Amino acid sequence: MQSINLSQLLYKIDETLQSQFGYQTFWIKAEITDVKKYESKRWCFLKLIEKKDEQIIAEMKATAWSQGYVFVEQFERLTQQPFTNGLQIVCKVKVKYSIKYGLSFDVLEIDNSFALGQIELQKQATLKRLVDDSNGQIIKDDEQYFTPNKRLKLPFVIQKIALITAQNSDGQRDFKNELLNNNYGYAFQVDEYLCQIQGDNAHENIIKQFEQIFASNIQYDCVAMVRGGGSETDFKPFEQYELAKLVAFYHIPVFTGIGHDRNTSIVDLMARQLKTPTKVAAHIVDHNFMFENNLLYQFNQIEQTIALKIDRAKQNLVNLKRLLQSLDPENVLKKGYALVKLNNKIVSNANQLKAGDEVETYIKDTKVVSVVSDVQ
Amino acid sequence: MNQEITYSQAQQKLEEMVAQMENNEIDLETLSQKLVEAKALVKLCEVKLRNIEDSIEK
Repeated sequence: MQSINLSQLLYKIDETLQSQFGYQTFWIKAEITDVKKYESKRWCFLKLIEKKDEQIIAEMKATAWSQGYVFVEQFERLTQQPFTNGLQIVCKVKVKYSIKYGLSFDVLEIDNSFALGQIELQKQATLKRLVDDSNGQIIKDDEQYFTPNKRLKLPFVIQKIALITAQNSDGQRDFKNELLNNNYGYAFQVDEYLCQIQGDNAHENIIKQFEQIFASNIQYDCVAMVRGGGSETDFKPFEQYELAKLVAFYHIPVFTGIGHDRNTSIVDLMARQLKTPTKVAAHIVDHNFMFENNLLYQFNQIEQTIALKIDRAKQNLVNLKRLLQSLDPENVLKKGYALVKLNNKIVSNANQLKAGDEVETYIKDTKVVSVVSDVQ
Repeated sequence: MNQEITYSQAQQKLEEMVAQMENNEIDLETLSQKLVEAKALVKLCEVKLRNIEDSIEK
């Protein structure tokens, strides 16, 4: 029986494929899985799959070499999500065959506008679900979301804070540094609820921390959920329905500082969003300063009101004293008037007198005794 | 003079007395006595004001 080497057959396959596909490229839509990134080399190995009714009906190995890896990096930058398993992408591929490694695709380009659209669609669907399931408690108005959590009033002074963050993260350091070294010397109680806040199951870890805060029975003034440092792309936990719903209905005001300025996550929309850990801490310090400032202003107002009232009272007394002085008969006599008394009673009417009466006339410092000779 | 009288009561009484004196509603016989009373009320008001000021400064 005549036989050929394996390589000979594989070269024939290679030739056939070359003649059929050559340098042609194709835009295809597929889900990605088995993603392995080599950041230092700027390569990414993955599988492209197509599913029908959750069953994989097509599968192909693929590689994004440095040319295609540029688009992987762009994907992460634009979407702020990791390029990872489960994503639907549209990419430009070239068929590649190697007699050693077999058939695969080279990924040359990724249509990131498609990815962004997909993510936005998913985000809008999650937001709509939150509103629809809230029994009218989450209200959307002009791109703003009003949630029961946002409607909670902050106490006049924030002192007890539950901090949800990752251990030894920049976010933890930045938040505490800004808060505890504030310019006004305000003291805070910060209880840390530490967990992993990146990665596929991060939202479950965060939810557990919220549950622990509730179970602690401590009357916290607010929850600060902060994240800083680490990956600039992994914000996926903050787009999760379950975490967003929990935050929207949480019984303590929640501040978010999850470290991204460009986009707003769904969790941000359900809480008080302040972008970065430092900004959350600064906001809390400012909140307390506002209270103190207001208190000082009120105290000042009271002091001024009292001072004004006392001044008026003093002026009033001065006026009354002046009036009393002018009404004092002693002072009247000093002006040259005289006071006449008959039988030690003041004579205020001439009818009280008759000829022969002995009267006393009081002139300034002097008493003159005289007899009335006639009353005309 | 009742020491328990408040500042407002003392001031009101004083103003009433001055008004009566100005309107000649008090005869000359009782004027001197009323004047003594009014001056005592002025003194009382001054003391009360000073006490209020002192307590605020503390």
